[in-house]
Amino acid sequence: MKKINSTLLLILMFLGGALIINFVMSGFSVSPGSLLWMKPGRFDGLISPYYYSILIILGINIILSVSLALLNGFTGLFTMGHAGFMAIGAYTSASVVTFLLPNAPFVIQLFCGSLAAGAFSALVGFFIGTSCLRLNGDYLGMVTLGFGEIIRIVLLNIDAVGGARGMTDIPVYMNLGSVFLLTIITILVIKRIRDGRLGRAMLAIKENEMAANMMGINPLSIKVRAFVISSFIAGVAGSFFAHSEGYLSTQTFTFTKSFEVIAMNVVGGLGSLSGAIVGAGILTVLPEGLRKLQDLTGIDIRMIIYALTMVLIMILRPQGLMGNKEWKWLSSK
Amino acid sequence: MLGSFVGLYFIRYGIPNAEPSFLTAIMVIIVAMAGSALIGVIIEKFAYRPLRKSPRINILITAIGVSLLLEYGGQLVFGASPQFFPDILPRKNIDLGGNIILDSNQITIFVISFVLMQLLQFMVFKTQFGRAMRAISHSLETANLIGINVNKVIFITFIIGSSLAGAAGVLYGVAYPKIDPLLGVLPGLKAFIAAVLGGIGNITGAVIGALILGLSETYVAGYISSTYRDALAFVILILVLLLRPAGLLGSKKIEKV
Repeated sequence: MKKINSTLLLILMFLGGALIINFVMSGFSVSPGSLLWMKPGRFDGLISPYYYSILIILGINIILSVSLALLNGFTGLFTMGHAGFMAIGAYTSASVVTFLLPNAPFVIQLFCGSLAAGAFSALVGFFIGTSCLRLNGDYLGMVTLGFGEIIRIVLLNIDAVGGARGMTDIPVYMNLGSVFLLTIITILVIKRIRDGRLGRAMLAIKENEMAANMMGINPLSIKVRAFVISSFIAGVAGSFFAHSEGYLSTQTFTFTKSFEVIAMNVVGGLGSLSGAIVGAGILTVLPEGLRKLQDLTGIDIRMIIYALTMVLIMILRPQGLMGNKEWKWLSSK
Repeated sequence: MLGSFVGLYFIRYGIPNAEPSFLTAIMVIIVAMAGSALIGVIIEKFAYRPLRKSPRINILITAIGVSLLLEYGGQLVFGASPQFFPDILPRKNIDLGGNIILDSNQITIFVISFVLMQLLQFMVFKTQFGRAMRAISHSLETANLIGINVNKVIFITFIIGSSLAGAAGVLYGVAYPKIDPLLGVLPGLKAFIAAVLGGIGNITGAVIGALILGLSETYVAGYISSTYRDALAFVILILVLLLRPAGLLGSKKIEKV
Protein backbone atom coordinates (compact mmCIF):
# COMPACT_ATOMS: atom_id res chain seq x y z
CA MET A 1 0.00 0.00 0.00
CA LYS A 2 2.76 2.37 0.98
CA LYS A 3 4.69 1.57 -2.21
CA ILE A 4 1.70 2.37 -4.45
CA ASN A 5 1.11 5.59 -2.63
CA SER A 6 4.66 6.83 -3.07
CA THR A 7 4.65 6.09 -6.82
CA LEU A 8 1.24 7.72 -7.20
CA LEU A 9 2.47 10.71 -5.24
CA LEU A 10 5.51 11.00 -7.48
CA ILE A 11 3.37 10.95 -10.64
CA LEU A 12 0.93 13.48 -9.17
CA MET A 13 3.84 15.69 -8.21
CA PHE A 14 5.22 15.69 -11.72
CA LEU A 15 1.76 16.17 -13.21
CA GLY A 16 1.40 19.21 -11.01
CA GLY A 17 4.85 20.37 -12.06
CA ALA A 18 3.89 20.05 -15.72
CA LEU A 19 0.69 22.02 -15.13
CA ILE A 20 2.60 24.79 -13.38
CA ILE A 21 5.20 24.96 -16.15
CA ASN A 22 2.45 25.23 -18.77
CA PHE A 23 0.54 27.74 -16.68
CA VAL A 24 3.57 30.01 -16.47
CA MET A 25 4.67 29.42 -20.07
CA SER A 26 1.25 30.19 -21.51
CA GLY A 27 1.27 33.57 -19.88
CA PHE A 28 -0.95 32.63 -16.90
CA SER A 29 -3.86 31.37 -18.93
CA VAL A 30 -6.20 28.87 -17.26
CA SER A 31 -7.97 27.30 -20.25
CA PRO A 32 -7.61 23.49 -20.18
CA GLY A 33 -6.03 23.45 -23.63
CA SER A 34 -3.16 25.67 -22.62
CA LEU A 35 -2.66 23.85 -19.32
CA LEU A 36 -2.42 20.33 -20.74
CA TRP A 37 -1.20 20.63 -24.32
CA MET A 38 -0.28 24.15 -25.08
CA LYS A 39 0.20 25.02 -28.70
CA PRO A 40 3.59 26.59 -29.27
CA GLY A 41 4.29 30.19 -30.04
CA ARG A 42 2.40 31.16 -26.91
CA PHE A 43 5.34 31.15 -24.52
CA ASP A 44 5.48 34.57 -23.12
CA GLY A 45 9.08 35.60 -23.61
CA LEU A 46 9.95 33.88 -20.35
CA ILE A 47 12.41 31.56 -22.04
CA SER A 48 13.91 32.39 -25.39
CA PRO A 49 12.79 30.04 -28.18
CA TYR A 50 16.35 28.77 -28.41
CA TYR A 51 16.49 27.44 -24.84
CA TYR A 52 12.91 26.27 -25.19
CA SER A 53 13.75 24.06 -28.15
CA ILE A 54 16.89 22.75 -26.45
CA LEU A 55 14.84 21.71 -23.43
CA ILE A 56 12.33 19.91 -25.65
CA ILE A 57 15.10 18.09 -27.53
CA LEU A 58 16.66 17.23 -24.17
CA GLY A 59 13.42 15.55 -23.10
CA ILE A 60 13.15 13.57 -26.33
CA ASN A 61 16.80 12.55 -26.10
CA ILE A 62 16.29 11.32 -22.54
CA ILE A 63 13.34 9.20 -23.67
CA LEU A 64 15.44 7.72 -26.50
CA SER A 65 18.47 7.14 -24.31
CA VAL A 66 16.42 5.44 -21.61
CA SER A 67 14.69 3.19 -24.12
CA LEU A 68 18.05 2.16 -25.55
CA ALA A 69 19.31 1.50 -22.02
CA LEU A 70 16.67 -1.21 -21.80
CA LEU A 71 18.35 -3.04 -24.69
CA ASN A 72 22.01 -2.09 -24.37
CA GLY A 73 22.32 -1.63 -20.67
CA PHE A 74 19.93 -4.10 -19.08
CA THR A 75 19.64 -6.93 -21.60
CA GLY A 76 23.15 -6.59 -23.03
CA LEU A 77 21.98 -6.54 -26.67
CA PHE A 78 24.22 -4.12 -28.51
CA THR A 79 22.03 -2.54 -31.17
CA MET A 80 22.98 0.28 -33.49
CA GLY A 81 19.68 0.93 -35.26
CA HIS A 82 17.73 2.99 -32.78
CA ALA A 83 17.35 5.88 -35.20
CA GLY A 84 15.39 3.53 -37.45
CA PHE A 85 12.71 2.97 -34.82
CA MET A 86 12.57 6.68 -34.15
CA ALA A 87 12.15 7.33 -37.88
CA ILE A 88 9.30 4.82 -38.11
CA GLY A 89 7.58 6.45 -35.15
CA ALA A 90 8.05 9.97 -36.45
CA TYR A 91 6.79 9.21 -39.96
CA THR A 92 3.91 7.01 -38.77
CA SER A 93 2.64 9.59 -36.35
CA ALA A 94 3.00 12.42 -38.84
CA SER A 95 1.15 10.40 -41.51
CA VAL A 96 -1.65 9.38 -39.15
CA VAL A 97 -2.20 12.96 -38.07
CA THR A 98 -2.01 14.57 -41.52
CA PHE A 99 -3.63 11.87 -43.68
CA LEU A 100 -6.01 9.90 -41.46
CA LEU A 101 -7.23 12.35 -38.84
CA PRO A 102 -6.74 15.81 -40.30
CA ASN A 103 -9.81 17.30 -38.61
CA ALA A 104 -9.87 15.57 -35.23
CA PRO A 105 -9.25 17.54 -32.03
CA PHE A 106 -5.53 17.73 -31.43
CA VAL A 107 -5.56 15.68 -28.22
CA ILE A 108 -7.05 12.77 -30.15
CA GLN A 109 -4.66 13.34 -33.04
CA LEU A 110 -1.66 13.31 -30.77
CA PHE A 111 -2.88 10.31 -28.78
CA CYS A 112 -3.69 8.22 -31.86
CA GLY A 113 -0.51 9.36 -33.63
CA SER A 114 1.80 8.43 -30.76
CA LEU A 115 0.01 5.16 -30.17
CA ALA A 116 0.18 4.20 -33.85
CA ALA A 117 3.83 5.27 -33.93
CA GLY A 118 4.68 3.11 -30.95
CA ALA A 119 2.64 0.16 -32.19
CA PHE A 120 4.10 0.15 -35.69
CA SER A 121 7.60 0.63 -34.37
CA ALA A 122 7.06 -2.21 -31.90
CA LEU A 123 5.84 -4.42 -34.74
CA VAL A 124 9.02 -3.77 -36.69
CA GLY A 125 10.99 -4.26 -33.48
CA PHE A 126 9.27 -7.62 -33.00
CA PHE A 127 10.21 -8.66 -36.53
CA ILE A 128 13.83 -7.52 -36.14
CA GLY A 129 14.08 -9.01 -32.68
CA THR A 130 12.85 -12.43 -33.73
CA SER A 131 15.04 -12.55 -36.81
CA CYS A 132 18.24 -11.36 -35.10
CA LEU A 133 18.08 -13.53 -32.04
CA ARG A 134 20.70 -16.00 -33.15
CA LEU A 135 23.27 -13.24 -33.41
CA ASN A 136 25.20 -11.56 -30.68
CA GLY A 137 27.95 -9.04 -30.16
CA ASP A 138 29.28 -7.23 -33.22
CA TYR A 139 27.02 -9.11 -35.63
CA LEU A 140 23.86 -8.01 -33.88
CA GLY A 141 25.17 -4.44 -33.93
CA MET A 142 25.88 -4.56 -37.65
CA VAL A 143 22.54 -6.15 -38.52
CA THR A 144 20.53 -3.65 -36.51
CA LEU A 145 22.57 -0.85 -38.09
CA GLY A 146 21.65 -2.39 -41.45
CA PHE A 147 17.96 -2.51 -40.54
CA GLY A 148 18.09 1.10 -39.42
CA GLU A 149 19.60 2.16 -42.74
CA ILE A 150 17.11 0.05 -44.73
CA ILE A 151 14.22 1.72 -42.87
CA ARG A 152 15.67 5.11 -43.69
CA ILE A 153 16.24 4.31 -47.36
CA VAL A 154 12.73 2.87 -47.74
CA LEU A 155 11.27 6.05 -46.18
CA LEU A 156 13.43 8.08 -48.55
CA ASN A 157 11.77 6.31 -51.47
CA ILE A 158 8.16 6.79 -50.35
CA ASP A 159 6.92 9.83 -52.17
CA ALA A 160 3.77 10.27 -50.07
CA VAL A 161 5.83 11.30 -47.03
CA GLY A 162 7.97 13.70 -49.00
CA GLY A 163 10.84 11.41 -49.99
CA ALA A 164 14.09 13.30 -50.19
CA ARG A 165 12.33 16.65 -49.81
CA GLY A 166 11.28 15.80 -46.28
CA MET A 167 7.82 15.93 -44.75
CA THR A 168 6.49 19.38 -44.01
CA ASP A 169 3.39 20.88 -42.41
CA ILE A 170 3.21 18.48 -39.50
CA PRO A 171 1.10 20.05 -36.77
CA VAL A 172 3.20 21.07 -33.78
CA TYR A 173 1.70 19.97 -30.46
CA MET A 174 4.48 19.36 -28.00
CA ASN A 175 5.31 21.88 -25.36
CA LEU A 176 7.66 21.99 -22.42
CA GLY A 177 5.15 20.73 -19.87
CA SER A 178 3.97 17.78 -21.88
CA VAL A 179 7.49 16.72 -22.89
CA PHE A 180 8.56 17.00 -19.25
CA LEU A 181 5.64 14.91 -18.07
CA LEU A 182 6.08 12.24 -20.74
CA THR A 183 9.80 12.02 -20.09
CA ILE A 184 9.21 11.41 -16.41
CA ILE A 185 6.50 8.84 -17.13
CA THR A 186 8.86 7.01 -19.52
CA ILE A 187 11.63 6.97 -16.94
CA LEU A 188 9.28 5.62 -14.27
CA VAL A 189 7.89 2.96 -16.61
CA ILE A 190 11.40 1.77 -17.48
CA LYS A 191 12.30 1.77 -13.79
CA ARG A 192 9.26 -0.39 -13.01
CA ILE A 193 10.16 -2.78 -15.82
CA ARG A 194 13.74 -3.02 -14.59
CA ASP A 195 12.69 -3.74 -11.03
CA GLY A 196 10.05 -6.26 -11.99
CA ARG A 197 10.29 -9.86 -13.06
CA LEU A 198 11.08 -8.96 -16.67
CA GLY A 199 13.89 -6.61 -15.70
CA ARG A 200 15.53 -9.17 -13.46
CA ALA A 201 15.36 -11.72 -16.26
CA MET A 202 16.99 -9.16 -18.58
CA LEU A 203 19.82 -8.52 -16.13
CA ALA A 204 20.33 -12.26 -15.72
CA ILE A 205 20.63 -12.70 -19.49
CA LYS A 206 23.14 -9.87 -19.66
CA GLU A 207 25.31 -11.43 -16.99
CA ASN A 208 25.24 -14.97 -18.34
CA GLU A 209 22.75 -16.15 -20.90
CA MET A 210 23.35 -19.85 -20.36
CA ALA A 211 23.07 -19.63 -16.59
CA ALA A 212 19.86 -17.62 -16.99
CA ASN A 213 18.52 -20.33 -19.25
CA MET A 214 19.33 -22.91 -16.60
CA MET A 215 17.37 -20.89 -14.07
CA GLY A 216 14.25 -21.30 -16.18
CA ILE A 217 14.36 -18.01 -18.08
CA ASN A 218 13.60 -18.21 -21.76
CA PRO A 219 16.26 -15.87 -23.23
CA LEU A 220 14.61 -15.68 -26.65
CA SER A 221 11.27 -14.53 -25.30
CA ILE A 222 12.87 -12.02 -22.93
CA LYS A 223 15.06 -10.59 -25.70
CA VAL A 224 12.10 -10.19 -28.05
CA ARG A 225 10.14 -8.47 -25.28
CA ALA A 226 13.06 -6.11 -24.66
CA PHE A 227 13.16 -5.32 -28.38
CA VAL A 228 9.42 -4.69 -28.57
CA ILE A 229 9.28 -2.43 -25.49
CA SER A 230 12.37 -0.50 -26.50
CA SER A 231 11.20 0.04 -30.06
CA PHE A 232 7.74 1.05 -28.83
CA ILE A 233 9.23 3.79 -26.67
CA ALA A 234 11.64 4.86 -29.40
CA GLY A 235 8.68 5.08 -31.79
CA VAL A 236 6.76 7.26 -29.34
CA ALA A 237 9.86 9.44 -28.93
CA GLY A 238 9.96 9.76 -32.72
CA SER A 239 6.33 10.84 -32.70
CA PHE A 240 7.08 13.52 -30.09
CA PHE A 241 10.01 14.61 -32.21
CA ALA A 242 7.79 14.94 -35.29
CA HIS A 243 5.23 17.01 -33.38
CA SER A 244 7.79 19.29 -31.82
CA GLU A 245 9.79 20.05 -34.96
CA GLY A 246 6.97 20.12 -37.48
CA TYR A 247 9.36 18.97 -40.18
CA LEU A 248 10.88 15.57 -40.88
CA SER A 249 13.76 14.64 -43.11
CA THR A 250 15.34 11.23 -43.50
CA GLN A 251 18.69 12.94 -43.01
CA THR A 252 17.85 13.23 -39.30
CA PHE A 253 17.70 9.48 -38.88
CA THR A 254 21.03 8.32 -40.30
CA PHE A 255 23.20 5.98 -38.29
CA THR A 256 24.94 8.96 -36.72
CA LYS A 257 21.71 9.49 -34.76
CA SER A 258 21.93 5.91 -33.51
CA PHE A 259 25.55 6.47 -32.48
CA GLU A 260 24.48 9.63 -30.70
CA VAL A 261 22.06 7.65 -28.54
CA ILE A 262 24.64 4.92 -27.95
CA ALA A 263 27.16 7.57 -26.91
CA MET A 264 24.64 8.93 -24.39
CA ASN A 265 24.33 5.47 -22.85
CA VAL A 266 28.06 4.86 -22.86
CA VAL A 267 28.93 8.22 -21.32
CA GLY A 268 26.41 7.83 -18.52
CA GLY A 269 27.26 4.21 -17.92
CA LEU A 270 25.83 1.10 -19.58
CA GLY A 271 23.42 -0.56 -17.19
CA SER A 272 22.48 2.53 -15.21
CA LEU A 273 19.16 4.30 -15.74
CA SER A 274 20.42 7.50 -14.12
CA GLY A 275 23.48 7.18 -16.32
CA ALA A 276 21.34 7.16 -19.46
CA ILE A 277 19.68 10.38 -18.28
CA VAL A 278 22.98 12.02 -17.33
CA GLY A 279 24.51 11.01 -20.66
CA ALA A 280 21.58 12.41 -22.61
CA GLY A 281 21.85 15.64 -20.64
CA ILE A 282 25.57 16.05 -21.22
CA LEU A 283 25.53 15.17 -24.90
CA THR A 284 22.58 17.45 -25.61
CA VAL A 285 23.83 20.48 -23.73
CA LEU A 286 27.56 20.20 -24.45
CA PRO A 287 27.34 20.70 -28.27
CA GLU A 288 25.07 23.71 -27.74
CA GLY A 289 27.57 25.19 -25.31
CA LEU A 290 30.28 24.74 -27.93
CA ARG A 291 28.23 26.25 -30.71
CA LYS A 292 30.53 29.28 -30.89
CA LEU A 293 33.41 26.94 -31.69
CA GLN A 294 31.24 25.34 -34.34
CA ASP A 295 30.51 28.68 -35.98
CA LEU A 296 34.23 29.37 -35.95
CA THR A 297 35.26 26.15 -37.64
CA GLY A 298 32.18 25.90 -39.84
CA ILE A 299 31.76 22.15 -39.49
CA ASP A 300 29.52 19.85 -37.51
CA ILE A 301 31.51 19.60 -34.31
CA ARG A 302 28.92 17.45 -32.52
CA MET A 303 30.17 14.24 -34.07
CA ILE A 304 33.72 14.96 -32.91
CA ILE A 305 32.44 15.49 -29.39
CA TYR A 306 30.44 12.25 -29.44
CA ALA A 307 33.37 10.27 -30.83
CA LEU A 308 35.91 11.78 -28.47
CA THR A 309 33.77 11.29 -25.37
CA MET A 310 33.06 7.69 -26.39
CA VAL A 311 36.76 6.86 -26.80
CA LEU A 312 37.90 8.73 -23.70
CA ILE A 313 35.20 7.21 -21.50
CA MET A 314 36.08 3.72 -22.74
CA ILE A 315 39.76 4.26 -21.92
CA LEU A 316 39.55 6.23 -18.70
CA ARG A 317 36.29 5.12 -17.14
CA PRO A 318 34.80 2.12 -18.96
CA GLN A 319 31.89 1.87 -16.58
CA GLY A 320 30.66 5.35 -17.52
CA LEU A 321 30.12 8.40 -15.36
CA MET A 322 27.50 6.82 -13.12
CA GLY A 323 28.93 3.30 -13.14
CA ASN A 324 26.36 0.97 -11.66
CA LYS A 325 25.04 3.58 -9.27
CA GLU A 326 21.57 5.04 -9.45
CA TRP A 327 20.01 8.15 -8.02
CA LYS A 328 17.91 7.48 -4.99
CA TRP A 329 14.53 7.93 -6.68
CA LEU A 330 15.57 5.48 -9.40
CA SER A 331 17.31 2.87 -7.29
CA SER A 332 15.63 -0.50 -7.00
CA LYS A 333 15.55 -0.52 -3.19
CA MET B 1 40.07 8.28 -46.12
CA LEU B 2 43.43 9.01 -44.53
CA GLY B 3 45.21 7.17 -47.32
CA SER B 4 43.70 9.27 -50.06
CA PHE B 5 44.36 12.49 -48.17
CA VAL B 6 47.95 11.59 -47.34
CA GLY B 7 48.35 10.73 -51.02
CA LEU B 8 46.73 13.98 -52.09
CA TYR B 9 48.95 16.11 -49.88
CA PHE B 10 52.04 14.19 -50.96
CA ILE B 11 51.20 14.84 -54.61
CA ARG B 12 50.42 18.47 -53.91
CA TYR B 13 53.43 19.35 -51.76
CA GLY B 14 55.92 16.48 -52.08
CA ILE B 15 56.04 16.05 -55.82
CA PRO B 16 54.26 19.08 -57.23
CA ASN B 17 55.31 18.73 -60.85
CA ALA B 18 55.21 14.97 -61.27
CA GLU B 19 54.13 13.54 -64.60
CA PRO B 20 51.48 10.80 -64.36
CA SER B 21 53.41 7.56 -64.51
CA PHE B 22 53.59 4.20 -62.81
CA LEU B 23 56.57 5.34 -60.76
CA THR B 24 54.62 8.30 -59.36
CA ALA B 25 51.66 6.10 -58.59
CA ILE B 26 53.78 3.57 -56.72
CA MET B 27 55.52 6.35 -54.81
CA VAL B 28 52.20 7.89 -53.83
CA ILE B 29 50.81 4.53 -52.74
CA ILE B 30 53.86 3.79 -50.62
CA VAL B 31 53.76 7.19 -48.92
CA ALA B 32 50.03 6.86 -48.30
CA MET B 33 50.53 3.39 -46.84
CA ALA B 34 53.29 4.67 -44.56
CA GLY B 35 51.18 7.63 -43.42
CA SER B 36 48.14 5.49 -42.64
CA ALA B 37 50.31 2.91 -40.90
CA LEU B 38 51.78 5.64 -38.70
CA ILE B 39 48.35 6.85 -37.66
CA GLY B 40 47.15 3.27 -37.22
CA VAL B 41 50.03 2.60 -34.85
CA ILE B 42 49.31 5.74 -32.84
CA ILE B 43 45.66 4.73 -32.52
CA GLU B 44 46.62 1.22 -31.49
CA LYS B 45 48.95 2.58 -28.84
CA PHE B 46 46.54 5.05 -27.28
CA ALA B 47 43.06 3.67 -27.91
CA TYR B 48 43.29 -0.10 -28.18
CA ARG B 49 46.22 -1.15 -26.00
CA PRO B 50 44.64 0.08 -22.74
CA LEU B 51 41.57 -1.96 -23.62
CA ARG B 52 43.28 -5.26 -24.40
CA LYS B 53 41.64 -6.97 -21.44
CA SER B 54 38.22 -5.29 -21.65
CA PRO B 55 35.06 -6.99 -22.85
CA ARG B 56 34.41 -7.08 -26.60
CA ILE B 57 31.62 -4.56 -26.39
CA ASN B 58 33.98 -1.89 -25.06
CA ILE B 59 36.41 -2.53 -27.90
CA LEU B 60 33.55 -2.28 -30.39
CA ILE B 61 32.42 1.03 -28.93
CA THR B 62 35.99 2.34 -29.05
CA ALA B 63 36.33 1.22 -32.66
CA ILE B 64 33.18 3.13 -33.60
CA GLY B 65 34.39 6.13 -31.64
CA VAL B 66 37.81 6.12 -33.29
CA SER B 67 36.42 5.85 -36.80
CA LEU B 68 33.95 8.67 -36.19
CA LEU B 69 36.75 10.72 -34.67
CA LEU B 70 38.97 10.20 -37.72
CA GLU B 71 36.20 11.01 -40.17
CA TYR B 72 34.88 14.12 -38.49
CA GLY B 73 38.30 15.17 -37.24
CA GLY B 74 39.31 14.88 -40.90
CA GLN B 75 36.62 17.42 -41.71
CA LEU B 76 38.18 19.74 -39.18
CA VAL B 77 41.68 19.33 -40.63
CA PHE B 78 41.04 18.96 -44.35
CA GLY B 79 37.77 20.87 -44.62
CA ALA B 80 34.39 19.36 -45.32
CA SER B 81 34.15 20.18 -49.01
CA PRO B 82 35.30 17.59 -51.57
CA GLN B 83 38.71 18.02 -53.16
CA PHE B 84 40.04 17.02 -56.53
CA PHE B 85 42.41 14.07 -56.65
CA PRO B 86 44.91 14.57 -59.52
CA ASP B 87 45.74 11.96 -62.13
CA ILE B 88 48.73 9.92 -61.09
CA LEU B 89 48.45 7.29 -63.78
CA PRO B 90 48.52 7.73 -67.54
CA ARG B 91 44.91 7.22 -68.58
CA LYS B 92 43.77 5.73 -71.83
CA ASN B 93 40.74 3.81 -73.01
CA ILE B 94 40.98 0.29 -74.30
CA ASP B 95 38.30 -0.77 -76.73
CA LEU B 96 37.41 -4.40 -76.38
CA GLY B 97 34.98 -4.43 -79.25
CA GLY B 98 31.23 -4.26 -78.96
CA ASN B 99 30.24 -1.55 -76.52
CA ILE B 100 32.81 -2.49 -73.93
CA ILE B 101 35.39 0.16 -73.22
CA LEU B 102 37.83 -0.33 -70.38
CA ASP B 103 39.64 2.47 -68.66
CA SER B 104 43.31 1.63 -68.16
CA ASN B 105 43.01 2.86 -64.56
CA GLN B 106 40.46 0.18 -63.81
CA ILE B 107 42.91 -2.48 -64.95
CA THR B 108 45.73 -0.98 -62.91
CA ILE B 109 43.56 -0.82 -59.80
CA PHE B 110 42.56 -4.44 -60.32
CA VAL B 111 46.19 -5.54 -60.74
CA ILE B 112 47.45 -3.58 -57.71
CA SER B 113 44.71 -4.88 -55.44
CA PHE B 114 45.34 -8.42 -56.70
CA VAL B 115 49.06 -8.13 -55.88
CA LEU B 116 48.37 -6.71 -52.42
CA MET B 117 45.87 -9.48 -51.79
CA GLN B 118 48.35 -12.18 -52.73
CA LEU B 119 50.90 -10.58 -50.42
CA LEU B 120 48.41 -10.60 -47.58
CA GLN B 121 47.40 -14.20 -48.26
CA PHE B 122 51.06 -15.21 -48.21
CA MET B 123 51.75 -13.32 -45.02
CA VAL B 124 48.78 -14.72 -43.12
CA PHE B 125 48.99 -18.35 -44.20
CA LYS B 126 52.60 -19.02 -45.09
CA THR B 127 54.77 -17.18 -42.56
CA GLN B 128 55.58 -17.68 -38.89
CA PHE B 129 54.14 -14.25 -38.18
CA GLY B 130 50.84 -15.11 -39.86
CA ARG B 131 50.59 -18.24 -37.77
CA ALA B 132 51.06 -16.16 -34.61
CA MET B 133 48.38 -13.79 -35.81
CA ARG B 134 45.89 -16.57 -36.38
CA ALA B 135 46.73 -18.06 -32.99
CA ILE B 136 45.91 -14.75 -31.32
CA SER B 137 42.63 -14.51 -33.17
CA HIS B 138 41.79 -17.94 -31.79
CA SER B 139 42.68 -17.24 -28.19
CA LEU B 140 44.70 -14.35 -26.86
CA GLU B 141 45.60 -15.97 -23.55
CA THR B 142 46.75 -19.26 -25.00
CA ALA B 143 48.83 -17.49 -27.62
CA ASN B 144 50.48 -15.54 -24.82
CA LEU B 145 51.12 -18.75 -22.90
CA ILE B 146 52.95 -20.47 -25.72
CA GLY B 147 55.35 -17.58 -26.03
CA ILE B 148 53.88 -15.31 -28.68
CA ASN B 149 54.53 -11.63 -28.06
CA VAL B 150 50.91 -10.56 -28.34
CA ASN B 151 51.52 -6.83 -28.21
CA LYS B 152 54.12 -6.99 -30.96
CA VAL B 153 51.97 -9.12 -33.26
CA ILE B 154 48.91 -6.91 -32.81
CA PHE B 155 51.12 -3.87 -33.40
CA ILE B 156 52.32 -5.29 -36.72
CA THR B 157 48.79 -6.35 -37.64
CA PHE B 158 47.68 -2.77 -37.19
CA ILE B 159 50.52 -1.61 -39.45
CA ILE B 160 49.48 -4.07 -42.15
CA GLY B 161 45.77 -3.33 -41.83
CA SER B 162 46.02 0.43 -41.85
CA SER B 163 48.62 0.55 -44.63
CA LEU B 164 46.39 -1.63 -46.83
CA ALA B 165 43.51 0.73 -46.10
CA GLY B 166 45.82 3.61 -47.05
CA ALA B 167 46.57 1.95 -50.40
CA ALA B 168 42.84 1.47 -50.91
CA GLY B 169 42.40 5.18 -50.24
CA VAL B 170 44.79 6.11 -53.06
CA LEU B 171 43.13 3.64 -55.42
CA TYR B 172 39.77 5.17 -54.51
CA GLY B 173 41.19 8.58 -55.43
CA VAL B 174 42.36 7.19 -58.77
CA ALA B 175 38.98 5.66 -59.52
CA TYR B 176 36.78 8.52 -58.29
CA PRO B 177 38.87 11.71 -58.39
CA LYS B 178 36.65 13.54 -55.87
CA ILE B 179 37.59 12.86 -52.27
CA ASP B 180 36.17 14.12 -48.98
CA PRO B 181 36.75 13.11 -45.33
CA LEU B 182 33.58 11.02 -45.18
CA LEU B 183 34.39 8.89 -48.22
CA GLY B 184 35.37 5.90 -46.11
CA VAL B 185 32.14 5.45 -44.12
CA LEU B 186 30.13 3.34 -46.55
CA PRO B 187 33.12 1.47 -48.06
CA GLY B 188 34.17 0.60 -44.51
CA LEU B 189 30.75 -0.84 -43.69
CA LYS B 190 30.66 -2.64 -47.01
CA ALA B 191 34.11 -4.09 -46.42
CA PHE B 192 32.76 -5.61 -43.24
CA ILE B 193 29.71 -6.92 -45.09
CA ALA B 194 31.89 -8.44 -47.81
CA ALA B 195 34.04 -10.13 -45.18
CA VAL B 196 30.96 -11.55 -43.43
CA LEU B 197 29.52 -12.67 -46.76
CA GLY B 198 32.67 -14.59 -47.61
CA GLY B 199 33.31 -15.85 -44.10
CA ILE B 200 35.32 -14.00 -41.45
CA GLY B 201 39.00 -14.96 -41.43
CA ASN B 202 39.03 -16.17 -45.00
CA ILE B 203 40.77 -13.90 -47.52
CA THR B 204 39.53 -15.71 -50.63
CA GLY B 205 36.05 -15.58 -49.16
CA ALA B 206 36.36 -11.84 -48.57
CA VAL B 207 37.35 -11.33 -52.22
CA ILE B 208 34.42 -13.39 -53.50
CA GLY B 209 32.09 -11.59 -51.08
CA ALA B 210 33.30 -8.22 -52.31
CA LEU B 211 32.84 -9.26 -55.96
CA ILE B 212 29.28 -10.47 -55.34
CA LEU B 213 28.44 -7.33 -53.36
CA GLY B 214 29.91 -4.97 -55.96
CA LEU B 215 28.24 -6.66 -58.92
CA SER B 216 24.83 -6.90 -57.29
CA GLU B 217 25.00 -3.26 -56.21
CA THR B 218 25.76 -2.18 -59.76
CA TYR B 219 22.88 -4.27 -61.12
CA VAL B 220 20.44 -2.90 -58.55
CA ALA B 221 21.55 0.65 -59.29
CA GLY B 222 21.23 0.03 -63.02
CA TYR B 223 17.98 -1.92 -63.21
CA ILE B 224 15.94 -0.94 -60.15
CA SER B 225 16.83 2.35 -58.51
CA SER B 226 20.11 3.91 -57.50
CA THR B 227 18.67 5.02 -54.16
CA TYR B 228 18.20 1.38 -53.17
CA ARG B 229 21.86 0.60 -53.87
CA ASP B 230 23.11 1.13 -50.32
CA ALA B 231 20.16 -0.71 -48.82
CA LEU B 232 21.06 -3.80 -50.84
CA ALA B 233 24.37 -4.28 -49.04
CA PHE B 234 22.56 -4.40 -45.72
CA VAL B 235 19.87 -6.73 -47.07
CA ILE B 236 22.64 -9.10 -48.19
CA LEU B 237 24.30 -8.85 -44.78
CA ILE B 238 21.09 -9.67 -42.97
CA LEU B 239 20.25 -12.59 -45.26
CA VAL B 240 23.74 -14.07 -44.92
CA LEU B 241 23.76 -13.78 -41.16
CA LEU B 242 20.34 -15.32 -40.87
CA LEU B 243 20.75 -18.13 -43.37
CA ARG B 244 24.42 -18.95 -43.24
CA PRO B 245 26.12 -17.14 -40.33
CA ALA B 246 29.52 -18.67 -41.12
CA GLY B 247 29.59 -17.01 -44.55
CA LEU B 248 29.88 -18.62 -47.97
CA LEU B 249 33.29 -20.20 -47.46
CA GLY B 250 33.45 -20.19 -43.67
CA SER B 251 33.49 -23.29 -41.57
CA LYS B 252 31.11 -23.62 -38.67
CA LYS B 253 32.65 -23.16 -35.25
CA ILE B 254 31.28 -25.18 -32.38
CA GLU B 255 30.73 -23.10 -29.29
CA LYS B 256 31.87 -24.90 -26.17
CA VAL B 257 30.83 -24.02 -22.68
